[in-house]
Amino acid sequence: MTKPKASLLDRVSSPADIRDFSIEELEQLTHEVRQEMIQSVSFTGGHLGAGLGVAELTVALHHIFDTPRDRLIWDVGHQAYPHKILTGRRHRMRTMRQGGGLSGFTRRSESEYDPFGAGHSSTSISAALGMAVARDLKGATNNVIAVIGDGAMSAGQAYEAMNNAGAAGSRLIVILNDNDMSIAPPVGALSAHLSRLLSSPSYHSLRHLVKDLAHLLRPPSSGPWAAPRNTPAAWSRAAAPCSRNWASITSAPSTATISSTCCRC
Amino acid sequence: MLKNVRDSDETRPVLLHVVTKKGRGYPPAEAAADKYHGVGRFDVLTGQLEKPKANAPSYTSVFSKALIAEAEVDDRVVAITAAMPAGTGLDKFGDRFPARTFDVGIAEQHAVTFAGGLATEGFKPFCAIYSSFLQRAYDQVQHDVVLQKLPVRFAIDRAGLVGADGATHAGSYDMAFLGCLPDIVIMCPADEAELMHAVATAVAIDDRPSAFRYPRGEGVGIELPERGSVMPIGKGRMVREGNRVAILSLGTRLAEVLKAADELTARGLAPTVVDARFMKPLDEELILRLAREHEVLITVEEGSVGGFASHVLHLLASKGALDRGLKVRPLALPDVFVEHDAPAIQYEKIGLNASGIVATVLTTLGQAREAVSA
Repeated sequence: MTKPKASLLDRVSSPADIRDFSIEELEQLTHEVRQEMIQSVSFTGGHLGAGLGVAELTVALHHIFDTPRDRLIWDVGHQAYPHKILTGRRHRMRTMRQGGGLSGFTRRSESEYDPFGAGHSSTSISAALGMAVARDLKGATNNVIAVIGDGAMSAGQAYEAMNNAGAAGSRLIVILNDNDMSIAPPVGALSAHLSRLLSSPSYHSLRHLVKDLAHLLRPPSSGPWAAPRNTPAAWSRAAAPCSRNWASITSAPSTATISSTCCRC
Repeated sequence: MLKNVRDSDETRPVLLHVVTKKGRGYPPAEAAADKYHGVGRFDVLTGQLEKPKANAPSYTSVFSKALIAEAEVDDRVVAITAAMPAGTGLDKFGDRFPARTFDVGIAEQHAVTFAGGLATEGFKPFCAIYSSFLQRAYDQVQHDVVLQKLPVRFAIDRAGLVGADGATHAGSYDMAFLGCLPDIVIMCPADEAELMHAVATAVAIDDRPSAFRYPRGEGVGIELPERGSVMPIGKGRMVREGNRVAILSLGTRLAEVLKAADELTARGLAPTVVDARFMKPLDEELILRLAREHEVLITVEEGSVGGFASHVLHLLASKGALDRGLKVRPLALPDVFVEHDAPAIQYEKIGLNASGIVATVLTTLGQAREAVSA
């Protein structure tokens, strides 16, 4: 494989190194991360598809957010290979799942960029809400982001957590990583709803789904919600007029777009 | 409306949203829906709930007071309930520390992982969940908390038999399902003062998960300290020194053990009585000493097979302490679902009271004598 440009990934030892990257550089970096991941997994075996699917998302998250100060929680953790490559573990990717090597999932003892260990699905929103509430109690200002797949949304705990999060009033970002797959094609009404949304002519983005969910999570009294604090600049325009802010990031196979939405506009 | 639903040609699931009011038709219950969710006996005219005269405070209220006392001096103490604020006593904690109290809804799985999230950020979460409800969050306990060695504190109320609530709500299995997990500390206070010590100890254990279990109902009326003291981890306490027979008690059955000890003493068989305090880690030194210095070792606990006695026997077998003829008799909940009844009758039926303990000791000594004379 010929590299058209000098490697950007070689210049990245931590996510701080990509905060100033241009869009073109981010695109190139994503391509390199993907190649790196394919190379290492071809050597070690492991989870391939989920990580490849979130390469853009991973690069975008570490570009936009101030990890590890901002807590980034990957549900299940098997899609975190690109995350590991960008967070100082690139040189150990070939030890993945080998004795003494990297874990195939996120792991607190492995990196400060892994704020919560995973392995089983559907826990990320619960853990993230705990961290968000802890942040508010401490008077801190960091972001907490949970990335959860549509497959993991078939388990009850995700709904327990969303129900609580909707009422708790702590700022929390949940990203639905919708690839219309779990290990097998996912089953259930929500998954079918997502599929219908995606195929429907009126589909614009996941915005509708998020809007629907946000409506469900609105308290019966509809009292004023706490204004979003610490809103990332990219979303502040959309968030400003809203009483409640939900953010969704949708990724297409070749490009990453960041969009904003909220429950009432 | 129901007829429309019944006769509808809709082939998909139908959701019918019906608005009701809890306690409707009975004014006292409408006014206080939580209080009248489940009740004991009450006066129909006034709605006054009949409160049996209690001589001692309930374990739940002692837990609540103890946690408030700890939270007054440590602002990292936070409390989590899964829709049981009154039942767990966290309603009072919430009155005092509203910003540090989290009712997450009927969502034990989420409650446990949420507590894990709080623990990662340096807080001291007390996750107060009834024993039987904690069963619903086992994967979260094992995977999200214990595996990551997060210092979440599990306050396990309604541990043991629960009387009228019966088998569905009995807290029989928590020692079995928690005791098999590495690193976790499990405390079983023997009375309400010990419960205060357990709460203080749980606050202090900040490098691994911990749990303490306590039953439904009232304590024994012992004098309570202002705050509990931190206990040495994995150490039991000698309650009475005797000989021949040692009774190793865990949890609040200690009161019945002491009654049994009085009766045995009156028969000239003064037993040694130890309160193990910890189900995990075991006080190995003390237990092995009991095994060395006595003919008979009785273990007493209010939990299923697989709990305390199983761990004690595993220790004794591993260390060869059973090789010299020690007679061990484990008293635990039997391998059946214990149906609802008055607690005293439940304990009588399964032999987990003073008379049952005395009978076990006497029978075992009788068997021991027969074995020697044979």
